[in-house]
Amino acid sequence: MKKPFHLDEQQILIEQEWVRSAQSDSRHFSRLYDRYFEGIFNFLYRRSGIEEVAADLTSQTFLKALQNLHKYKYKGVPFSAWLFRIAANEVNAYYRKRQKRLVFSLEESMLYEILEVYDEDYFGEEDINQMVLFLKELPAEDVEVLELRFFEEKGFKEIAYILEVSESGVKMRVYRALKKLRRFFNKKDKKEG
Amino acid sequence: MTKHDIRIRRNKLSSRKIQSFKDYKGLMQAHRKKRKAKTLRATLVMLLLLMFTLLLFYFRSTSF
Repeated sequence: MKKPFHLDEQQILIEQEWVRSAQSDSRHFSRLYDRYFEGIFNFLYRRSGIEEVAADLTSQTFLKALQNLHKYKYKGVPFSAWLFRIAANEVNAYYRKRQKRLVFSLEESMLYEILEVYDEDYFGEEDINQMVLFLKELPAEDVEVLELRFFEEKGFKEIAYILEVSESGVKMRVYRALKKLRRFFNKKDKKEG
Repeated sequence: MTKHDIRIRRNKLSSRKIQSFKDYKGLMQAHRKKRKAKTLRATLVMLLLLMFTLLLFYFRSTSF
């Protein structure tokens, strides 16, 4: 499994300099836009499953970020966490407005990474369908946390900031979900055996 | 508990495809438009408040 993406101190300092520069003149926002566009788009695509919707929500996210940039304060997490928090709120508002069922559109290759936490060599292609069943049974809030942890490769602190919950709460949700996953596949093993 | 669907995709979207959705110029235009509308709204509110204050002074001065 890949290590969660973290910026080192030097990178955070540079990023904060970019933010300060954009706060004093919005024309300098382009560097942040270029750096995070793809990440935010991918996140919103995973949460909507429709390219056009993801593009629209990405625009909304960056527009909101620009409008509220003067309110941004560094809180020990990268600037991207602030963008992801806006994006998460945007996608939730999208589903609330349309009263649609939440969608998680996940890449097959990334699902293997979650399975690797359980057992590195055990899983094959047929287990993906089982994994989908398992994820459907989980509460959406837990899938959201797993998605941020394993697909976006965010640290616990960042996830807590994005979802506006406590760090221990996030750890608990990931732990609980992985425990359920283990139990789910154990049950399956017993049935097959 | 919120209901949700899980969909599985075989492939990731290509970086090139994602980049085609980028529109920094459009973003800045929308930002300027919103900022103008905000300034206009604030100016209107100020004007209304000023008119209301002037009217208040006017009626107070004529009532005595």
